Formats: sequence, structure tokens, C-alpha cells
Amino acid sequence: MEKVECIVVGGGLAGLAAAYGLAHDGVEVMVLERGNYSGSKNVTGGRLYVRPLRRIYPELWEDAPFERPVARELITMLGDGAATTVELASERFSAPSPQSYTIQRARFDQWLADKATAAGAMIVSDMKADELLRDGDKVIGVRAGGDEVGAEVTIVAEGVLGLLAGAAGLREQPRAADHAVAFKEVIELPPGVIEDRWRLNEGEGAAQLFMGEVTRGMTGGGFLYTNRASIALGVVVAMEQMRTRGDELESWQLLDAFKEAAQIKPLVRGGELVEYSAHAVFEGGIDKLPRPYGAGYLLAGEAAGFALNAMVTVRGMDLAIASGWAAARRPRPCRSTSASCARPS
Amino acid sequence: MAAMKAGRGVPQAIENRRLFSEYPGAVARLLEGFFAVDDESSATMVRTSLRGARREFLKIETLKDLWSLRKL
Repeated sequence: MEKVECIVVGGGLAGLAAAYGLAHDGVEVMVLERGNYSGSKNVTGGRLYVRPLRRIYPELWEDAPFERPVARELITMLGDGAATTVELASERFSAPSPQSYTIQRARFDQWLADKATAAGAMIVSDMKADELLRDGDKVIGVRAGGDEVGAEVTIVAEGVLGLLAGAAGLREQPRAADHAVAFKEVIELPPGVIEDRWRLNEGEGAAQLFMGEVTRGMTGGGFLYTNRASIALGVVVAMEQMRTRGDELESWQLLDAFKEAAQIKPLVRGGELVEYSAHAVFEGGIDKLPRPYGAGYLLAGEAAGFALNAMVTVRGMDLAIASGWAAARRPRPCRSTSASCARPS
Repeated sequence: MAAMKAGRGVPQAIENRRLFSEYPGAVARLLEGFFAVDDESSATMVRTSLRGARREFLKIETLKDLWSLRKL
């Protein structure tokens, strides 16, 4: 069996952040990405909080392909035929060191993949990992594309459902009660129109969250992020509440109705729909997190349950990068004492 | 005239300069607590806001101002 020092399953933010750090430190690392390229399968629509990451890989963020720095925050409550918006445009959140940026993952992940490759990581695209290989309790590698590849450490950054980790017994199978489902459309609009509609200076962005009638009383809400020349508009709703409603409503219909609401229609007017997607979101909180490490493996990103929806701040991507960074720091002892692999110090 | 009578206390109430100097910034700082995410985020949103509200508004002056604003 071919063997490398470290395999990363999943070339998203967590996996690439781990690969970048490992490669940078001279560790032999192979990333298995099921899509044609990193980001090609990702549908996250949103905002990356960069402020918590500035101390992590500080050299990276200067030339990152961000869409817009978020200069205007809006929370809109829809109820009783009215829309009430709380809005904040603070210079402490924008220039010179913005707190967060909107990003498009296809572009952002490819950029991070290039950085990891330049640092020395090997990224294998179009390669779906089929199974984690185990020797007793220890994860010893991956089966992918009919081949087996051994590794001293396997970093599992496979995304929210954690199917490989679940099948290998490293975490429980996902439960609807711990997840929400999100539907998102990307709607193209000219940059000037975006800036006029959200009263932004040139190049600045807005993040607008909606709560209330958008989810018909269920836990969740709507979101809208302004990219450079498009907006990401979507609805998130608690899976179990949606599943047990007992009526004919389908979750995707919430987004259709949301777009038609009198308060939303003017925001999307004249836009062209260019992308439609759906995604599960972990909302189980810290008490439902799987054990993030064991013999021969580490979990990172959504596979480790790192997502936090606190209503006005929705975090996941910064936690993914931070967990990838943290995972990259763990396998270092492997070269000297393989028994201590993937065990927190 | 009914509206003018109902608003009898308005001119006096809005003479309070703190309405225009201190409170706009205090409200902004309070909201920033809601929306802020930094590498030291350890408190919950509600705890941050309650702490902010206490710091910004729980003062004798503010309570007196609130009392005077009942005339608006």
C-alpha cells in the first residue's frame, strides 16, 4: 500500500487550511477532493469572519479573493405585515481592517488550493474517498478510486454529514434534529445597483438577515449577502421542525415565497438567477460535537461540527479554517513518535 | 391644536444635549456588541449586550433623561 505522511479528506476550507499548514512545515500531505476543483461542490453562501483569523496564517489574507468587506449589517424582522430593520454601519467593522467579507467559495477555495499547492501539498481532484481504512481502533489511511493509500494521520474534513467518519464509527450518524437545511440562490446584479440598494460606498458590502414570517414560525431565517456583482439570497430552516409540520409545505417553497414578499421583491428586482443550491447546516452546538480526534485521525471543519448560528452572527467558515490550522499543528510529532499522532498535546 | 397641546413638553425635552451627543454613539456601541466577532469572542450575544447596556445606559443621568422624555 502506498503511504504518505498525511491524507486530508476534503479540499474545502478546513482541509485546505490543514494542508497549507502541513505543507508549509514540510509534511508530505495529499488532499483528496471529490469535485473537479476545490470549491466546485461547495454551495456556502456567505460571509467569512476574518478578524478571528488574522493571527492564523497572517500572510494569507492580504491577497485573498474576497468579494466585498461587510460594512453594513442589517437584521430585518418580518411580522404582522410589517418589516422592522435594525441596521448598523460601523467604521470599526469596515476599513482599514474589515471584520468580515462576503466570499464565493468556488473562487475562494481555488485560491486557497493554489496556496496549498505552492506550499507543497498534493491536491488530487475528482477523487472521492470511499472509506477510511482501520487497523483495530486506528485509522491508517483511505480507500479512494479503487486504491488504498496509507497515512500516519488522516484529517477528515469531508463536510457536514460526516458520512465516512460515521461509517468508520468515528462519529454518530447525523440526526435531523441537529441540523437545518438551507436553500440559496445566487442572483446577478450590477455592482452599482447593489451599492445603491444597500446604500454602500463603492466596493463595500452588506449582510442582511431576516427572521419571522420567512420561516412561518419555525426556527431559522433568511439571509442575503452582497457579492461584487451578485447577491446570495437564501432561507435556513430547522430540519426536524420542517419534517414534522404535517402539511404539504416543502422547505424549498419557503425561499420562493420569501423572494415574492413585498419587502424582498425590490431587493432582487432585475436580477438574474445564476445558481441554485441546498445544503445541510449543523446546529447541534457544542454538546453534540463528535470527538474530534483519535488514533490516526482528526476531524476538522463541518465534519467536526464546527458551526455556530447565534442569530445575528452565523459562523462556520472561520471555524473551518481555524480547525484546519489546529489540525495541522497536531500531526507534527508523527515523524518522531507515531504513537502520539493525532493526540492533542 | 390637540397635537400642539399634547406636545407641550417637547421643546423642553429635546433641549437635552445628551440626546444628540452621547446617546447616538452609545446605541452604536451597543449594537456593535451584537454584531462583533473577534478572536476573543467568549461571551454570548445576550451577555455582551446586557453588559453593554449596563455600561452605556444604567446611569442616574440616563434615568433622569428617560423620565423627562415621557413628555415627548
